[in-house]
Amino acid sequence: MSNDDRITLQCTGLTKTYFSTDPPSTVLHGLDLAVRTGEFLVVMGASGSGKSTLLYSISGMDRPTAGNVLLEGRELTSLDDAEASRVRLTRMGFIFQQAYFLSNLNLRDNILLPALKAAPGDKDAVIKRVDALMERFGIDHVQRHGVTQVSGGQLQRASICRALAGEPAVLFADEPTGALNSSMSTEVMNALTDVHGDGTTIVMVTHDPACAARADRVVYLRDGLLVDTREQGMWSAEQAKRREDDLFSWLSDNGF
Amino acid sequence: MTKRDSIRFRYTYNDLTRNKGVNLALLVILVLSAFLMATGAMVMERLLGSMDQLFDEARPPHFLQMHKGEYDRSELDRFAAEHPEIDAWVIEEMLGFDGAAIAWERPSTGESGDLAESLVDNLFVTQNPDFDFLLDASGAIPEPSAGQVYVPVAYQQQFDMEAGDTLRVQTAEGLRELRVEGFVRDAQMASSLSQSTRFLVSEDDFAALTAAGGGTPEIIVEYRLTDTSLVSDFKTAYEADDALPKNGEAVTYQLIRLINTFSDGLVAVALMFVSLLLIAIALLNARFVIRGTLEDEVRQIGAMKAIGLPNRTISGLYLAKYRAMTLLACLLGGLLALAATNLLTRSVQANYGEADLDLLAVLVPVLALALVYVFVIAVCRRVFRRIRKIEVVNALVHGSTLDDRQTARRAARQSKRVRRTSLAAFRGTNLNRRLALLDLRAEARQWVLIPIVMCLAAVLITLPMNLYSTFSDPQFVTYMGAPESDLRADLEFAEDVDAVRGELVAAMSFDERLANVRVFANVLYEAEGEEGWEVLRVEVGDYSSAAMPFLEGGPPEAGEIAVSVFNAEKYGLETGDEFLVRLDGAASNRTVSGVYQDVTGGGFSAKMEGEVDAGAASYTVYADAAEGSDTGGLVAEYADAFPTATVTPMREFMEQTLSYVTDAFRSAAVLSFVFGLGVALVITSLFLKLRLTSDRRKMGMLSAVGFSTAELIAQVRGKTLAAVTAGTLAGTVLAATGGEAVVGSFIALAGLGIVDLEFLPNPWLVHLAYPLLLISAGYLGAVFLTSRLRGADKSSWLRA
Repeated sequence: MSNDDRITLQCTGLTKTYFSTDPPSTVLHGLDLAVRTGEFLVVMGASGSGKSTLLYSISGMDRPTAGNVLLEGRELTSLDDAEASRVRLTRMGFIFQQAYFLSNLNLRDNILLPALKAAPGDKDAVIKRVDALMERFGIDHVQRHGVTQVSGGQLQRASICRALAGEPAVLFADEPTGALNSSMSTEVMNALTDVHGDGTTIVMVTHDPACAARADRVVYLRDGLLVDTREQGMWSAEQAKRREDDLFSWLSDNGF
Repeated sequence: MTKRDSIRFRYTYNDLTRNKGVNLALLVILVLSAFLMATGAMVMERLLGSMDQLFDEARPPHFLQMHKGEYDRSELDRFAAEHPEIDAWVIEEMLGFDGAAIAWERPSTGESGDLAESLVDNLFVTQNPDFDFLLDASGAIPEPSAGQVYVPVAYQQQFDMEAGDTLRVQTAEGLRELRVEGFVRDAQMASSLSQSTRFLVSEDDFAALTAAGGGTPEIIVEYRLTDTSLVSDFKTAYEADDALPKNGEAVTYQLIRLINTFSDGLVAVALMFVSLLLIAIALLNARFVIRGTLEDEVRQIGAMKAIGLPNRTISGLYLAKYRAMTLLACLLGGLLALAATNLLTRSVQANYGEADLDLLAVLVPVLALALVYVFVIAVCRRVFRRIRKIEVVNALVHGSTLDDRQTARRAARQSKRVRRTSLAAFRGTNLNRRLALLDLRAEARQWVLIPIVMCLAAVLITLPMNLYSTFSDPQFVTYMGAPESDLRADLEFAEDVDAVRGELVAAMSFDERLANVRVFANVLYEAEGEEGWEVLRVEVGDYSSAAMPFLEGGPPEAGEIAVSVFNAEKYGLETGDEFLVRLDGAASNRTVSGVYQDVTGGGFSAKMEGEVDAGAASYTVYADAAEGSDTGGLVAEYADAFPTATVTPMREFMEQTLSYVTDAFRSAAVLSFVFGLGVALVITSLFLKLRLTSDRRKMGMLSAVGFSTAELIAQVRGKTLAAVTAGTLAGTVLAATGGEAVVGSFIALAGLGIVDLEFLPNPWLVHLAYPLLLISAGYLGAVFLTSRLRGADKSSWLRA
């Protein structure tokens, strides 16, 4: 079986209802989705369509109201909190819109933190891997800086390093360029494309068609339902403009 | 209501209802502070008011001298003639009966009892003609008819006696019955610290009781002076006069007032002390909450500034909530205080009478509450001054309350800190503990609230408990200038006192159930004061095995004298000094062997080595019960065998003498214990609630990268436990060191003869149980708050 046919992450009948509102609001309505191994999948949709809810439900951060989630064949929804945390620690990586870091650790320690926690006995190897990642993404010169002393782009690249340090099966990104200017956005998307080139599976939520153009596949969400899918194939810098235009017209057709 | 007022009102209402938990916690502490402050002030005002009123009506003497036995009336006349400052004087004759000789019965129901439990002297007197009146409940000066008796109000309360009851007095000739006509208040002996109490009977009954025998005749020579400032000189002059009667206690007007204020005012002072601590805690919290509010709402504040609202208006908007809360707290606290004061001043009202509710009675609590309000609002206003420093751009764009300089300073501090830490170099295996410690260090400015509050709470619960255990400890007797012992027999002036002494000592020495029998004679020496020779009460006996502590030096040996703190001050004595004393005209020099503390007899006493078996004013015999012997039984047996001796179990003697003080301290200890634990729980919960809210994103991130909820909870609980423990330990140490010194100096100021109070704490309780309970209370708050984290959708933390 080739990489293209294997499924890393799959959800079926995924439903998420928030009971804290009155009346309770259902954000995901029995959604089915499969993410192929090594695929770069982008989830798009209007605000409130359920993109982030989908991301946090399939990553085990939130518990879905109904449905199943399989990661590498392992059912996640039945795991208890500690087991689910362990899965996030060892098999998942996260990048958020805001670069959340601990302000009382320097940049390198922030990146090291989950990897050291995952493999406490393998400290030297972890450190070596993290230093290599920092060098690769061009932030090794600020490794001892505090998180308030570096740029937003550098912080997001540090987020990518932190997400990759544990060698995850899948990397989740929630609007990773949402808080950045265009040059920093390009910086971050180049890094993600680079990571994808290594064969890392990525699931990203974004509003930005330029970012979505980088993906192998784009799915469109409306009112908690998956309404359309678009296969784009491998991204290349030369075809970037045309891909963006095509994607934009597809999005327009979907009412974006 | 103007438009601005209406906006402010709506804003305040919304603000109050939005953060219900936090506001409620703050309100509770403010209400408690206001309640205690108002109660303390009201109790004090009521006490002083009642006392003033009683003193006005009863006109107690400015100087009085007790005496048992023979005296020369003509000498007293001569002395009075020589002293023009005497306004009036009287020799009050009294007849003392043992409590066991007095019984009461209610003919209608058959209920009855006796006063055997009471260890104070029960003195029968007639009403005085000119001053030192005994007053009935209405403040009138009753004159009982034959067959009637007026009983002290203290007994009315203690035994639930009623008018119409029958009082039986056991005299040598048999029972005499009197009808209880009413109850009297006694300015001179109102204090629960007083060792005696007076029953009022008619002249005929007094004569009959005297003739019947069985009572101990006693007199009080009482003087009213033209000017109370002359009292201390007058006392010196009286004591310097050899011919005057003076084998009992001498008491001045000031001492009567002081003892009254001390015994009944303690509760008030304790309440105000607790209130001050609570206000400190409330303010620390308000400061923390306000800072949190400013950080949460910095964008809103920035917007208000941007549209041109002046700083005063903005802080006024926020301050309105605190004004409303403090005002509400003061009102609620004041109302609660009204109820509590009535409860707490019940005995004051009975003993001193009810003072008129004048303007002062209203003004004092209102003023106390106004002070609380002004103080709290002033501090809140100060914290809100930070609004002035908030810059519009920083607030709107970065959501920061800091200006550029502060931001740069904070970043510099942060980078300095992160450079020093390194997870890569961290050798331990527990990452969670490491993170918690780093957090505590980085957020020390916020977390410090918990140790400070816990420290104050520890002081709050420990000090009253230590005072209570000190005053109720059997060892406290050593502060009363007496050795520790199980029982004590007092032989006061009687015809055959020397013979009885001999028999008693012989009997006790041969009794195998008793050990360590020590006899002390109270001998009236003289010492040279500023105005000539004056009385020096010296306890003569064997001090070689006396287990009593000395402030400096040690017990006297032959040729030496030990003096009480007050005498040391009065005569300017230190250990090793020579002190000239004389007895029966023969002067001798004694070396001062040491100085000790004494709360009895106004604190003026001395001790000498030797044995006196004749001619002393009185004798005191101390003995210990041998192991396995029953002190109570021994006391009863010796009291029967030696009717002229007053035999008391020391423990009970102490308990009764100090009952009011220990009761007050017990109430204060219980109250502050409950408040302390409550405060620990409430404040920790409140702090964590705010902390967890501001840490949501951090927790969300940690959860995403693989930290389980249990680990996040453990981090918060660990940090709380560390902060709570550090504060509690600091408070426990502070209470034992600084607290002892502060309370000690307060007690020293009270002029009781204790200048160096050393706590006699219950170590298991205050050094182990209390800290553990306090830590548990704080930790419980953390458990309660953090348990809510379970089951939450972690993404909601990130999206907050």
